[in-house]
Amino acid sequence: MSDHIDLKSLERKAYTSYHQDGLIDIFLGLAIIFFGVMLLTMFLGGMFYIWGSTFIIFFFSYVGAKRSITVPRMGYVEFKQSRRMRIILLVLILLILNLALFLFMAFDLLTPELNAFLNQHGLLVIGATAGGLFAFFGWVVQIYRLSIYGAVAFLVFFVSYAGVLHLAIPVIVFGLVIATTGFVLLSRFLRQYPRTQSHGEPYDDWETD
Amino acid sequence: MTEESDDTKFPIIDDIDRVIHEPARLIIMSHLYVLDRADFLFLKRQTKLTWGNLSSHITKLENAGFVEVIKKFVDRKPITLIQLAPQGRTAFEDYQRQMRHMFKRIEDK
Repeated sequence: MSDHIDLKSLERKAYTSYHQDGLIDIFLGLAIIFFGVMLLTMFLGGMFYIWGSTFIIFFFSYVGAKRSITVPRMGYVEFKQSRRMRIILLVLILLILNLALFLFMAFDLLTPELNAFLNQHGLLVIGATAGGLFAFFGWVVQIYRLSIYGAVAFLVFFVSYAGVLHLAIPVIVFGLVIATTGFVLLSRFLRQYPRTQSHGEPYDDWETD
Repeated sequence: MTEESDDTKFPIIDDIDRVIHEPARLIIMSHLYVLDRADFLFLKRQTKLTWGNLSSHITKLENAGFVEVIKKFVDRKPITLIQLAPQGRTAFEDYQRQMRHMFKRIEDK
C-alpha cells in the first residue's frame, strides 16, 4: 500500500478505470464511420435527422453495453454529484450547439458574408469545432485520449480542406482508428476484469484471511 | 532521567481513530470519501483487497457507524452498496486533520 493517499487522484483513478473499457471509443468510432459512409454515398438529404437519431441510438446502446459489460466486471459505482453535473452540463452544451446548428442550417439564418466564408473555409471551421469539442469533452471527463482524437479530427478536416482527399475517406479512417482503439481497450479490459457471478455480492472466489 | 516536556509528547496520537488508522480500512474510507457509493465488487477492484478482507473490514467500519450498507435494485438485480455515513465523513476529516497536525509537529522538531 502506498504511503501517500492523494484523494483527488484516487477519485480520478476510480473514474478513469471505469472508462478504460473502450466502449465510448467503439460507439464514437462507429458513429463517425457511419457519418463518413453517409458522406461517401452523398446521402446528404435529411442528414441532420439521421445524424440526430443515430446519436440517440448509439447513446442508448452505449448505456446498455456499459450495464452489461462494465458493471458485472468492474462493479457498480455512483460518483459524486459534481462529477455527474459536469457530464450533464457537457451534454446540454452539445445539445444546444446541435440545435443552434440545425436552426441556422434549416432556416438559412446565416448572413451572406458568413455563408460565403463557410463555403470557402467550412471544413476548417468544422475541423476546429470538432477538435475543440473532443478536447473539451476529454478535459471535462478526464479521459485524455479524447483530446488526442480532437487533434486527429482537426487533421482529418484539414487534409480534406487542403484538397488532398475527399472528406469521407479521412473521416472513415478517423472513425476506424477510434473504434480500433476501443476494441483494443475492450479486449484488455475483458482480460483484466473477468466477469464475476454476482456484481453486488462477494459470492465467488471467497476466501478467508 | 528527566520527565518529558510537553514538546516531546504526542498526546494527539492517543486521539487518532484506530478503526480508520488500519491501512486497509483507511484505503476503503478514502475511496468512500471521494465516491458517492459503490458496491463490493467496485471496492474490491479499487482497493485490491480480497473478498474476505474487504467484507470483514467493512463490517468493522459498519459496526463503528462509519459506513452504511444499503441493499438496492439496479436493473432488477439486487446489489449491496456501501456509502460513508455522516459520522464516518466527520471521523475521516478529523483523522486527516490529526495526522497532518502530528506530522507537522514531527517536521518541526
